[in-house]
Amino acid sequence: MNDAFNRREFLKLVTIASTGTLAACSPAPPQKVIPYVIPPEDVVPGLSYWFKTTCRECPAGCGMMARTREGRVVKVEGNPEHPINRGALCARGQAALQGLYNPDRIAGPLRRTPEGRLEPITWEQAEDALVALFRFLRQERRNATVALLTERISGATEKFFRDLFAVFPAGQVIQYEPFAYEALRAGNRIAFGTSEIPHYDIAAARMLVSFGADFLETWLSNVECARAFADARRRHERDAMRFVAVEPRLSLTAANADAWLPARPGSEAALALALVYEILRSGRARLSSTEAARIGQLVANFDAETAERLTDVPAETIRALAREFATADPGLALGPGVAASGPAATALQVAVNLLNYVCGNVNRTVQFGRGSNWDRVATHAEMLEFIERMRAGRVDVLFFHHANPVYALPPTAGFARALQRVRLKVSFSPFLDETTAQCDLILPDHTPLERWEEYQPRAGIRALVQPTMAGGFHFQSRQAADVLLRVVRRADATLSRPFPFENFRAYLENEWRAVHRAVAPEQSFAEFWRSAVEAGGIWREVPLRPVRLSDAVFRFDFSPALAVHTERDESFALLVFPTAERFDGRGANRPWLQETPDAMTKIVWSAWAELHPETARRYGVSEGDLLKVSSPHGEIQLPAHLTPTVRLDTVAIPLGQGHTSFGRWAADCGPTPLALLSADVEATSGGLLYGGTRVRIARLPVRRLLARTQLETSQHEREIARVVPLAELVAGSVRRDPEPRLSLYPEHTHDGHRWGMAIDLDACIGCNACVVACSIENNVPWVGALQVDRGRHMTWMRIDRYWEPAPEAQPIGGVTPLETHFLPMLCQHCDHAPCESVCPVYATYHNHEGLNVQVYNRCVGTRYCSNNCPYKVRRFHWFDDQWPWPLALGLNPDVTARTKGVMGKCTFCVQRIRAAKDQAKDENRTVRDGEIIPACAQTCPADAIVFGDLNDPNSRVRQLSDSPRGYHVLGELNTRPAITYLKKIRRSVPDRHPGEDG
Amino acid sequence: MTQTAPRRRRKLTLRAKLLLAAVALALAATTTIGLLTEFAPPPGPEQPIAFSHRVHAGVNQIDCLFCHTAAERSTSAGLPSVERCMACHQYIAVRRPEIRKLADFWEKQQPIPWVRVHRLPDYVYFSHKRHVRAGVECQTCHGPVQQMEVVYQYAPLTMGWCLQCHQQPAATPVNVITGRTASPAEMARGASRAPLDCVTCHK
Repeated sequence: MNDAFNRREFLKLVTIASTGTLAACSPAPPQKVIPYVIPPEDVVPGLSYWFKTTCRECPAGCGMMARTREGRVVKVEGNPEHPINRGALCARGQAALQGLYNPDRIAGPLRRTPEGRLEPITWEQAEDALVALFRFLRQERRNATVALLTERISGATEKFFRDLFAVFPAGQVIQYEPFAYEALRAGNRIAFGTSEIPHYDIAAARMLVSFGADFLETWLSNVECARAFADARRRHERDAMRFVAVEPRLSLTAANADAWLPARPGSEAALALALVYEILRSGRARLSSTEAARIGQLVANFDAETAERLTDVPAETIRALAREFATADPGLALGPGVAASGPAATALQVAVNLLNYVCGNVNRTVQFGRGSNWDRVATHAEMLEFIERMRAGRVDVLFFHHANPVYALPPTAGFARALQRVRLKVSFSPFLDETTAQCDLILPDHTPLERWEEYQPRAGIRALVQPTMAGGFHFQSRQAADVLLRVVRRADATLSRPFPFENFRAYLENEWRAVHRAVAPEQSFAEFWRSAVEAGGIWREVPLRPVRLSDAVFRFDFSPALAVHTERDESFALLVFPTAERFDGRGANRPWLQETPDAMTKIVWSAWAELHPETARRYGVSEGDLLKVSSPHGEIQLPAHLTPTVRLDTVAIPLGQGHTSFGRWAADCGPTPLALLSADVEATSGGLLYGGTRVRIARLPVRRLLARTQLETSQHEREIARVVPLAELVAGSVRRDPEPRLSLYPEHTHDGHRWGMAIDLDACIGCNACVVACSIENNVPWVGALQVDRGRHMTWMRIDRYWEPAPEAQPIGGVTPLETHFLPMLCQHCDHAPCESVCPVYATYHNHEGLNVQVYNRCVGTRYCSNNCPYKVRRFHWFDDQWPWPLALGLNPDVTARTKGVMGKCTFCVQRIRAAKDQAKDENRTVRDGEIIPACAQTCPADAIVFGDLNDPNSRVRQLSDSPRGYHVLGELNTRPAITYLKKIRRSVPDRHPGEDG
Repeated sequence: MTQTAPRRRRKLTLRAKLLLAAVALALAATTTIGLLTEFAPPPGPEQPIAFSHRVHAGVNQIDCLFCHTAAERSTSAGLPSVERCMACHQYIAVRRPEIRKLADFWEKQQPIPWVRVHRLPDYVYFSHKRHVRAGVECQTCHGPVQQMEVVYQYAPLTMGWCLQCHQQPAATPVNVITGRTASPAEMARGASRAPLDCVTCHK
């Protein structure tokens, strides 16, 4: 090209010419700008306002803050002051926004016609119908049984519903949770005489042993546990915490363990008892000799050899583990999660309690008095009893309040059939879920982001749920409690006295007057209430309530712990497990959660059956083959996923899919393993038997799409995710790996700021919270299973997962223990960015603050940048994104929603950088360290991601980046990334202290 | 049959040639027009109420920020609520037909559906606050609003136009009407530090 006519001018001419050809097209239609009639007080368009509330996506009760713009919620984040989650949220909490704006919400009240159809009615008609019902029940049919089946509620909300349903002579409130922790409650009652679920002080423990407790995924309070776990892992010296996971399948929690012991399914109790046995035998118990002798008698059958026979874990390993656990001061053992809730679940919890007791952990890391009370949540046995009453026609009217038992109970429980015998079914669900679809009257409630509530996650915390935006913005929903208050007063004038409240908010405020008198009488109530709502509730430290070993434990029969299926036959143990993304299935209608890859398998939009490759070979099964899994109670068909992370005698199937009526995104995602479970309950606790079922498998001659975002599991010795042994770190012998410093161009000068990030691979637990947070913050679309399978997933951030055989570990039951590496991967903002030099239109460039910027309006979609990116973090928009109304209302107005044909990628949340600089400029100062927090770092429960200014020698990010553990992924390519990864630390277990042996 | 096909093809080619010529002509014409013409402000759209900025901002000297209250606090300048209009027009000029229209909206408690005059593409993030606080006067971008009976788009609001200021900040008048340039105090506050980085506006 000659000088007279260079590329730039050519492009200019072409652009003008093409504008000319398009001139005949019509201009954009005139837009309206609509001002307020009366502006809301203190609301300025264009500014963000934050409201604190409580997350109700699971019973954990994390504190939440909702960011609103022009009256709409556009992002939720953890409340930094909240004692449970301290600012973090999990993937499910982040996706709460898609519950609020879900297009499959029920538009307004519905009534079933005599022909059985659901027809829309007005709220007046709906309330009239309820009024008539209430009058009828109170005046004519006084003996009618009225029940409310609700999710776990507490505090003023619980009192409200209890009092309200007490207006019926035979009214009752049943709290139902699919994960009701029956074994924990029963085991604690037996061992310590209290059914409280204590607070486990994971952060203080130096040795953690989990017996199937998936505390980083769903168990009790996963964000709180993850936060504590990360705190404990940050102690890098000799008092570092070691963690051993005992479970038949490598869950996300077990993947974070220093050692994974794949014991036989259902044999965890035997292992825990053998540890007690060995600790007592070696005289390491912190007990009086008489007590030691009594407990010794109790566990006399469980020596290490017996345990080896039952669990497959070598006796030598058990002894070494016992030695290490007993010497840890303090240690902590955690009891069964859902996957370990088989016939021996209570035996396991009692064994775990004994193990904690003999090592002196009870009242130290096991803290009663600070825990949570689940007494009023029905056990599975109680649910079965209730179903029996329904079946016998002894339940006349049944109300559902955010409970979906038709889906969440195993079909063998017969809930759906029994429900048909209930004369009138009323649902307050905002979604047409499986239960609601069978109801006669549907009065859609607000989602938690629109309603008032009080929730007490554990002792000392009274959390408030408040509307973060006005309800009824698109869907004509009304808060159930408000409707009931109005109805009950209209139905009977005498009830106006006990319920004089205009709405539930007034009721709640009134209830809190007592709290005010007890907590802060020196303040005025108005002041107290305002500060409580502003803070998202009130909390205080509660004293420990020490417990002693109960005598009941000595009468406990441990025989279920011996009943382990050890024969080799053609049956498999069925392992039903919940995952961090899907939980019990209540979030299956959120497309972001469906498209978030499962932490371990990286599967999206589907259920799957995990088989060990060895097993698969025996049955001629390959990846994606449709598998028929049958138990004596049912049969399901789902695609097989081959993975070395599960035992050879086990088939593992996740919970959470298999919805038949839960909106467009929950449909067609494979079955739920609940269909395989028996109707029996665990004898002692009355718990649902998630474990203990034997199944058979058969390959069907069909293949199913099983879309995965990562197919590779090995690093092929490329050292992408690196590890450093703890001993080397303690000895101070760790050095940075050398990297090339070659350049043909002058170096970038970053005067002012130079943004960078440090990611601690030792802290990262691989939980995906960052992935969902990033997607919400940056308007990242989802594309569905088919496009993911073609490699077109759009997430700007992903967690790469690799595993390799754990060094020095012996196979257990034919399974090689694995060492898992999680590597959060996002744009590295390289100094020598391979993407920048190949862009023909200068749409991607390096700015003076070290950002690798992508300018969407310049991008013409050549995709050269993506091809040249060694990290594969650039995402091309192959299609115009679909944001079905009203999902589009949740888009972040500060980030461009990209159109078809442009490239997108991580921007280090440049909108947040701009906002922080904007504020700093207003205050005539520079940006402070820690002021800019990208969405991923903000929500990380492990604090693994730190962002800041690398030019500031005192910034956290700079100090972490200079750590001897630091390295750059693919640094050998001379890309000079702005992200420094800190190597994961390998802690060996058992850690043999010199001069010590058992 | 075999003979008709090529004939038809020939016909089509002829027609295509004519079409091509027409397109080329149109292209050349529009290109020339595009290169030669300056930005000519289009007339302002008809609004639901014939609101006069000349009367308010010109004759009565009401400060812009009195009605566009958010301009120095937020990215968007904000439009006055109907309530704010009525605060004065409960008493002032209540019998004028245009004010009656306003009162009508107020009585029905309906917002006024103003037609947007200034619009930036969705991928552009402009902050009123930053510009107002840097001392840039409203007229610099919005033109002599105080003389406008009907508000029209004064400036092209294209990136090239934005960059005229951003590339030579110190020399740029902060008020195009008076031609006043930034005072040293205003420059110290940031008037002369207009950034040129793409992510300033595109994010």
